[in-house]
Amino acid sequence: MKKAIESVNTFFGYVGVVAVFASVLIIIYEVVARYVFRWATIWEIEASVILIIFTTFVGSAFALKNNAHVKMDMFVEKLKPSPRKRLNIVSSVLALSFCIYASVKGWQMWWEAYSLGWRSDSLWAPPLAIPYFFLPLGFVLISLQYIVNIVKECKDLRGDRK
Amino acid sequence: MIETLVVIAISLIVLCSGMPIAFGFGVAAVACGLLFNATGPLDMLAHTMYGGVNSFELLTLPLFILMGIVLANSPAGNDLYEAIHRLFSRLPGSLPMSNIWACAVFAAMCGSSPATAAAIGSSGIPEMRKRGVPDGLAAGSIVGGGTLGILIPPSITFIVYGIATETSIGKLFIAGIVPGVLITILFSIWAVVASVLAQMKTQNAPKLHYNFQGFPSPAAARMTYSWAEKTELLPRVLPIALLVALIIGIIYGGIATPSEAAAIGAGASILLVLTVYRKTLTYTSIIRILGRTVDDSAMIMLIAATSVLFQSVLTDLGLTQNATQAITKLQASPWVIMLIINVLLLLLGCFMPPFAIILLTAPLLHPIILKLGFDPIWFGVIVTLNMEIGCITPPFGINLYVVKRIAPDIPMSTIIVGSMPFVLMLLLGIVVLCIFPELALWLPGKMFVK
Repeated sequence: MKKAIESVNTFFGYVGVVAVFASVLIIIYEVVARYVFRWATIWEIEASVILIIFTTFVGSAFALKNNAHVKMDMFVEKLKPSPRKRLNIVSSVLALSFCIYASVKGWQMWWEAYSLGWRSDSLWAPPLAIPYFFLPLGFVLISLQYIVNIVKECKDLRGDRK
Repeated sequence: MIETLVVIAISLIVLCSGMPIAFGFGVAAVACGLLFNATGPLDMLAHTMYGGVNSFELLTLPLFILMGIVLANSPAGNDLYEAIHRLFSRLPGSLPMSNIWACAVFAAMCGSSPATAAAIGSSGIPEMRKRGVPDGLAAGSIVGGGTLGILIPPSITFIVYGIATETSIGKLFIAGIVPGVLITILFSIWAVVASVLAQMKTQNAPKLHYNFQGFPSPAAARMTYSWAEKTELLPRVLPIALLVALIIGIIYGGIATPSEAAAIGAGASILLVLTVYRKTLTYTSIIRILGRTVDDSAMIMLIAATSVLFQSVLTDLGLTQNATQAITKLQASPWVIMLIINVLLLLLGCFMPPFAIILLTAPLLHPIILKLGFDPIWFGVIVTLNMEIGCITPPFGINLYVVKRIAPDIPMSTIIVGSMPFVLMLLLGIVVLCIFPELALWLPGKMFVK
């Protein structure tokens, strides 16, 4: 289970890389089209923003797996190992509950946009259900990764007691 | 009043618990919202976070991050440092000085302090120590020089400040140029002074073999270069210079928006690495570049999303407005308030990374600054100088750890002591900018507005 979750997050992390590279290419195309050929640009900027929104929310689960989220841990590091590990579990559970809450709110937002067929307020007007999907997807993946981390931390703590 | 204290207490406890800052803002927002019944922002939680990252300006961030990571993983920093060193080689303190100037040039391609310190320091520090520069000065010049990464455009803190206060990112970038050069010169002056001091100290000691720079040289390091050697590296440094000129030219000339400049810069740096530095690319280095790009972008952008959520709860509870009113009601002179703001930013800088501090405080400080009659562009530069100091001051002086990782055998105390003169130079820079705000505002005033 742990392996499955982590490989899903790794996979989506690299999809996030592709999204960043795609937005680089799209914007370069947009610059050439707009400033060199004077073509009207319609979808480019919005598409690249949507790609980066994907990287933000879905890539965050990958970053959590890599322990890349910056934190203020200089006070916690002063604690002895056992209370520090317990505090870690408590703070992970708090963060997990926020992520579950955000996923629920995110799915509600997505469902609203999907069932009512909302479209973006622009000339291109893509259905909002597509970018809105990335937020709850990301928070579900982050929640799963947090569950993996918490199980790992609990096992670690129990191992110490033996 | 009670509400304010409870909100501050909850936020402090959550953030200091070692939880990632991105989730810490979220937990604090939801906890405060539930406690004080701020149902509005909680109902709109997903929309608010989505809105926090749904912006074309914010796109600047991952694109410049990509560019910085690509160049930091190439030998571009090494080439830059070697080329500058050959030009300066006859001056006292030429080695630390060329490291500082190499940081300044690298900062013009990279928007992050630790990335700049790592790119120049990884070859610069071992080289300086080999040629006899004292450990403290070698470490300090990279810890200090690296902070130029966020002052000289492109800069992550300017992007985040521009978004949080709705100030022009292009103007902020251009405003950072003159102060960036000023700080580089101040740093160089200290490098020369410290080198001369170290020289005098060692001259009283038993005679050692002295090299050209006045440092006792363990190995007979070469300190003079012929003109052929001085110009030999130019073809390899030329593309870097063109890249810097391209980005600053695009933004200054109003040719394209900063986000578009970032995409062009990222594309050009990938092209540069694929052509000039192709031999240095390995499978592992490519995977590292790709992974770090997603890690860093997602990490900062998620903080952007959750900090907007946190701000929306603060605004809903009326705390933002209260803080502005309380401060403007103080019968103190604007400069006293500016001093208090600076002290507050410096204190926060000891504990939090720059972008998180700006996302947290800029929406609160912006209305105060406008009320007091300060220029928001100028204030952006002042905030950034404070954040540079925050990259040096322990315990969360991120650049200290970058240098410690490059040279694990230098004790942390030596690194910190060697870095303190650079903090003084930055403080001096803040004072100079307060006396002469034109230093920051002259160049953006000349800009073609975009």
